[in-house]
Amino acid sequence: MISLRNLEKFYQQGPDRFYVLRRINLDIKPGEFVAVMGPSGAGKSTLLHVLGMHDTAWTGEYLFLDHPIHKMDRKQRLEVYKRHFGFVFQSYHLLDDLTVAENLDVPLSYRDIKKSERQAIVADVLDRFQIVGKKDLFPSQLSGGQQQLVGVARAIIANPKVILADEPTGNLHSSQGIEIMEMFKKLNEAGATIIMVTHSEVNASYAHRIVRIVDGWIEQQ
Amino acid sequence: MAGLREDVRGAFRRLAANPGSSAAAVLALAVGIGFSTSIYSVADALLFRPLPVPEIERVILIAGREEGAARGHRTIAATDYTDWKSSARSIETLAVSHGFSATLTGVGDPVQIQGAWVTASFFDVMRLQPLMGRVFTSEEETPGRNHSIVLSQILWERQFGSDPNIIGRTIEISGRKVTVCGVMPKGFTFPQPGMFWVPLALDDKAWADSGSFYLRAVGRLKPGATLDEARAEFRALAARIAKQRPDTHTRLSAHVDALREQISGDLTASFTRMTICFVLFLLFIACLNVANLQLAKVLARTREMAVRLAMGASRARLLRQTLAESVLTALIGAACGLLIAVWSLDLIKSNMPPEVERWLPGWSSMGLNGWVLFWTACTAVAAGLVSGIGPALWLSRTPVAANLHESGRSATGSAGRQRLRTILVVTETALALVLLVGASLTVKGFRAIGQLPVSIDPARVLTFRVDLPLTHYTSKSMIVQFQRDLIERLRATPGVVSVGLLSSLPYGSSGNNYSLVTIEGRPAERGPQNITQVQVTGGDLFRTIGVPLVSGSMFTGAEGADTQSVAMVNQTFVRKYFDGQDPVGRRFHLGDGKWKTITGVTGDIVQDFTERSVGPVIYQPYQQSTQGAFDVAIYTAVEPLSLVAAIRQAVYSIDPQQPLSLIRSFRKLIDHSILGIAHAASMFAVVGLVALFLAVLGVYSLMAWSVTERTREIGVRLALGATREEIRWMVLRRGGTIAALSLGLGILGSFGIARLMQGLLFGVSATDPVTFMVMPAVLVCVLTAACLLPAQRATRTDPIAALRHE
Repeated sequence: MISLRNLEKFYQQGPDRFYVLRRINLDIKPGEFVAVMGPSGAGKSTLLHVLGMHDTAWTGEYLFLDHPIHKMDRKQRLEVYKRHFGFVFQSYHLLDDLTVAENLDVPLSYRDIKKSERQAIVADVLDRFQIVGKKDLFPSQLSGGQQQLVGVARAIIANPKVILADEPTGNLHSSQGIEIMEMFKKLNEAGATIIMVTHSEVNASYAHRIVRIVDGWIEQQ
Repeated sequence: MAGLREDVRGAFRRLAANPGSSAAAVLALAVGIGFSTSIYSVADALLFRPLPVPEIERVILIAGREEGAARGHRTIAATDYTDWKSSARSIETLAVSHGFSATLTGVGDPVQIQGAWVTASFFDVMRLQPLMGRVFTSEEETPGRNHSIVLSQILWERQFGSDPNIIGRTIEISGRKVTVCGVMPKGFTFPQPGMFWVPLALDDKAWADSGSFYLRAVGRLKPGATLDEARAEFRALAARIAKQRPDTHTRLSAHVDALREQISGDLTASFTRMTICFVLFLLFIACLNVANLQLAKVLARTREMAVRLAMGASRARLLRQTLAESVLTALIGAACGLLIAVWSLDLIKSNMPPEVERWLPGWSSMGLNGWVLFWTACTAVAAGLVSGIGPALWLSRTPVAANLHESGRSATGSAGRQRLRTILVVTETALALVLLVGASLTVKGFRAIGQLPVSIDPARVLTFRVDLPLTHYTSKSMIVQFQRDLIERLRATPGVVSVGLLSSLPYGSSGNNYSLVTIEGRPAERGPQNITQVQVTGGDLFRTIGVPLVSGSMFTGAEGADTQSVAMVNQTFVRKYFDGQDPVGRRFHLGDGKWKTITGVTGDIVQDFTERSVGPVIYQPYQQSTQGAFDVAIYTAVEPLSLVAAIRQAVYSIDPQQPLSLIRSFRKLIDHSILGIAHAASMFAVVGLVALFLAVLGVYSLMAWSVTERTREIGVRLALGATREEIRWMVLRRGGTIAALSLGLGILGSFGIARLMQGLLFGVSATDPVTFMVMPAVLVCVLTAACLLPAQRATRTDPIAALRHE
């Protein structure tokens, strides 16, 4: 599903290059649950944003479902991302001035879906995540766990094939973290490919395999 | 469309969530858009739709003009009308008119009213249907059959109480009985201040007269014909006529203008256009201010934008979303601005005296109409886009990954944003200085125009106009007798110090007479260089209005038709025709061969305030050059207006049917004549002050934001041993840099606008050192004040709290 070949990312600092990712070769199959681990500053989140096409300044090859992402322009990449990817953040990043239901509607509003259809999808997801009662609340009125639950619901609402998660339980206490990881497990069992950056060995144990990154290099798969 | 609706809803919500900054942005734009709306209303009424005439853009004025003269419009001869009418192909209809003043009697007190003789085709050119009755037929152009009159709506309303049975009623105009055949619709007052129209009935001899220039031509272009085509055609026609009639038309060309462009006069048009420019400048400053405020909020919104991008939003969508917010802000600002527009229009209209208003077609219909609101809405959308495009582009380029990073630091490009904000503030401050200098120059120019070089206080002089009807005053001796009696009776009135008569007082609205002058001993030459203004005077005019006698003597009062013809001249006349040598005793004539001996020289006084320099003037005694229409000036020992009743009584005792018009002090007469410039100068001053306020607000906001952003840095500096004074100077230095950049750019721009205004606006001097020193000094003072508060706040930073800031 995902294939990276000799992918590199660096920052130019005067005459020198500071590499964040070095010669990354990585293959991820459909339905896999992959944990990316490594020390702080190793390049884990950078790799995740490259996979999510938020970061476009890199070299090498990136194939997604055999489509050469590295040859696509910004618009084409955005289309691929909108059709196939969802993103979960450590700090939830819900939009403060929107209600839970409106936050869930945001990804759909960028996908040319009719309003009535969007309302039905939002209602369905609220129901699936058992947060119907909170649909009119604002993020500030939710606990951290509830916010992340909404964050996960928002990531999957457009029915993505791949969910990218950047330390999804990093700001939660353990019981809330378990709840979120169980949710990821269910989503993975339902067919979603999940790539998760984490520092937690417990969370990593939910994954099928662990990719470790140190100083921008993949150390061990 | 649904997406746009959501963007607008979201924009409403975000504006409501930040009431403070939203209100500041709305207020800034409301001021800019409000003033724009009011000046659009003025321009719409005075320049674009001054008369309720269908397709007014096709109506043209055709006048004579001396060959080579850049300005000036001459009246035309009757033969010009007949020649043009038979030859011109670019026009559909042509008409001529001749304005005159008349006395309306039999309806309450006698009143002086202004109207015009017009050809029947006049109403065809205007394509106006009367409100009631009919307009003239061509038969009524025949002498002896011209007994009809068409009234303006305003005359019908004021003098006849909107009498519904007015049609067919016989009224008396200057002793002549005429029958009302029609009433024109509201707002139609052309040629200004047209209150009535009577048929122009000339006999064959008058139609064949090519030497009397007294008619004004107006025509309607054929559909598809352009103004340039008409100009070329009339120039060619005039050249042909000049060859056919060398005695009367040598060096005479024709000039064509759009009625809409000329009806309010050159000055009104140029001042209105310049005011529009000023107000749009102000609006631009307001936009920069709002952009500045929005850039300050960028930090708070970069994360939101990064999340939206991560959710699949395109950058174009984010751009649209952010612009929706700024356009919405501007539209709310426009709604609030309408209040400012209504208020300022009320203020402008309430300060316009009727004596001046009647010369401004369209003034009475000035207000917020559909067109003005349409342009206001367009302005608001444009202001929203201008103010929002910078922040919107900035936000839409938010780097996603960096701003979603969990390190807690946002990649907001703080240094770049600071640079951009500094550029915006420097630009708006420089523009504010440009507007301040422009406003100051206009105000100073206006004050200079209003100061006549006279030795008396114009507020102590009472003036009024007398227009003796030629139907009653059928001989020169009757007019002279009236004037002699008037001077004597007014002199005898208690409270009167001195009395003078003049064809037209300086700055008065009555037209001036000009004539060719031939100095004894020199060849008679035709041409503009020998044209001089001719005034008829009586009583102690020069003493009354404070004009000094430079040499020779005043008229004695004993002059008469059978005594030696005498005249006085002004200093410019002496400089122009006698190289500055004493002309007393020298002689000249005015083309009629009747020599007049110069008895005295008076000081110069500007007759028409639009003249850039004083022209040569000849003064003749009323006993030797009779004119039935004249101004009267009375120097009083008491409050001038307290004498009005006594003066009316003095006039009525001579002729109970004779009305007085334009009764006011000389000061008021001067003020009324330059009221348009006063309005423009006031508007410029207000715009300049508001621009200064917005600039100060911008600088304050930038400095306050800068201090907040540098809280940690200030804490570190304090922790490392910096004194509070050093911190204050650090902040003030930055303010000083902004002020220096603004001053540099602003002064350069000010020189540019001063030169531009000097060329376009009367009375403005581009080289006024005081303005160029005082205005930058004012700016420096207010900018220093704007920087002091943030600087003071910076010195109170607690280093421990500041180091915890991040």
